[in-house]
Amino acid sequence: MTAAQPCPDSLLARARAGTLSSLEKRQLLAHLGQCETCRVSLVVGQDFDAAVAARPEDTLLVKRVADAVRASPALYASVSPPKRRARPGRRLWMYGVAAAWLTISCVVGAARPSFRRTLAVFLGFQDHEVRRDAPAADVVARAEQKKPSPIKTSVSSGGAETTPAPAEEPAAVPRPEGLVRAESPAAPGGAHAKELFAQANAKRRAGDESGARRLYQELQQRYPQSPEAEVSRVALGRLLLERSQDPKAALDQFDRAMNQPGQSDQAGLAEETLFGRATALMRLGRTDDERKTWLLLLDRFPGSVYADRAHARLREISLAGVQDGPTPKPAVK
Amino acid sequence: MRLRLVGTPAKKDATSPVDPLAALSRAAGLGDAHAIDTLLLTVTPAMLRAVRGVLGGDHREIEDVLQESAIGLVGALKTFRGESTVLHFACRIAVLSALATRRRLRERAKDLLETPEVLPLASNESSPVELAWAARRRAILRDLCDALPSAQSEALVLHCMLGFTVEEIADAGQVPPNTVRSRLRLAKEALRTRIVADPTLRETLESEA
Repeated sequence: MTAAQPCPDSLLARARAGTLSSLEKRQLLAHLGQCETCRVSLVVGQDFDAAVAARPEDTLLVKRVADAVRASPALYASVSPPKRRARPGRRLWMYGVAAAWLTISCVVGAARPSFRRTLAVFLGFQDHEVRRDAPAADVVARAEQKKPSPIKTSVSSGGAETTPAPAEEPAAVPRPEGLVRAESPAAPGGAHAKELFAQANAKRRAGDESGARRLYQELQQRYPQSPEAEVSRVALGRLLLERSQDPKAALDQFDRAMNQPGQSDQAGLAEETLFGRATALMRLGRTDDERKTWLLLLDRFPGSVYADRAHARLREISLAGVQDGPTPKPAVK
Repeated sequence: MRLRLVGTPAKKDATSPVDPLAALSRAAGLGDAHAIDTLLLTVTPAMLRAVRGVLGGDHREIEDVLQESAIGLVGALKTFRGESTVLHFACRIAVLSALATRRRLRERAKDLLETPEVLPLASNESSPVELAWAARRRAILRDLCDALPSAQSEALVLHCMLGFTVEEIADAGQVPPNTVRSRLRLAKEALRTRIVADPTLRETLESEA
């Protein structure tokens, strides 16, 4: 760095983003040759690029934070629009509406089911009631206690064998599985899917690979349909791939994650899964399947953080011209 | 040709790219719950990266600081006038919250500040030794942030950790670009001094150059 020539800080930032023109690259290289401060800055910056990349468990963390912020009283204090003082007449009118609403609710609640349905339909409450009831697992459980149905058994066993009930019974209308799964089931022993997942992550962070692996597997066996189990497949896959050096077992995890594409998309894990799968296939030497997986990754996520890696690897495969032997059909579609 | 008065913040002109989150942030600032939700889910991952960079990858305070930053962002949207992109604005809030947390923890219990960083999962490009060196360099920068004046720490974090350009830092902080350059020069010089004081890191630096 010289007094006459200030450091090109913006070029350094853009070099890391990969948006420099060839002229700018030459300018930056010339500067780096004589400025140790900028060399240090670039190297440390690249260290952080690698360290702060997204992790599989981030999706759940972000959702937890968004939920917490939504429930925060501070949020409403900060963004509520200024309240206008209600005029006396308007206030009376509001009280009247509230009283009418209360009365109607009491009548509807006390009425016989057939009359309640008719009145609710007439007043437009039907949809609201269905939506309110559907996601609440405890409400569903209470309803099922009153009127036993095949769904109760299937939900408690993980939802694998949901049997639709007769259509004419409103209480037993089959619910989408996702609504039941949204609540992590509690084990009779007291351990929850969330707790197991947190314990497994803690073990992984502490470097206890076998402990983390055992807990992830336990989570998947006990709560196969929970969101935590979904995420754990990717987390365990990466653990097996990169710490335990077991690409075959890792591939199995990634394939299981891929076989539920709707769910991995929903959790934002599809990109991670594809990256892990391609890397596992590379380690196993299944070049053709690996190439297909990279192409799928680029096709579905053209702006992926793994796009550079995918392009580089595809170039290497293309240059090597390697075609491995017949391989099993990939699980990805 | 664009002329800019020295000492004044950069102004947006017609050629500035449109911020895709601008409309969403305006709706969120007016209290639209759906817009707030969408905005949070969009920018929180970037804020998480910022917090993780300042505190360290597995620090126990990450979630709390992220939540605090997200609440701070929603509260600040009312007064946000689009001087920078929403994403840069959000990241700056996250960086400032994380830096404040570091300072608070440092004052409260010096020994408990650093949670040992778990090395990232090995990649094909880096050996375990290289990963360890990189972790050491990151730790040096974090330590330096505690020692530098706040404004320099902020500029260094936004530039070095998150890759902001000088103009982006200036827009996000509403300061003149030359002020940012000056802060960055001092902070980067301090970083170089610390890194080259470690013989091993100095050697690795020369080999990577």
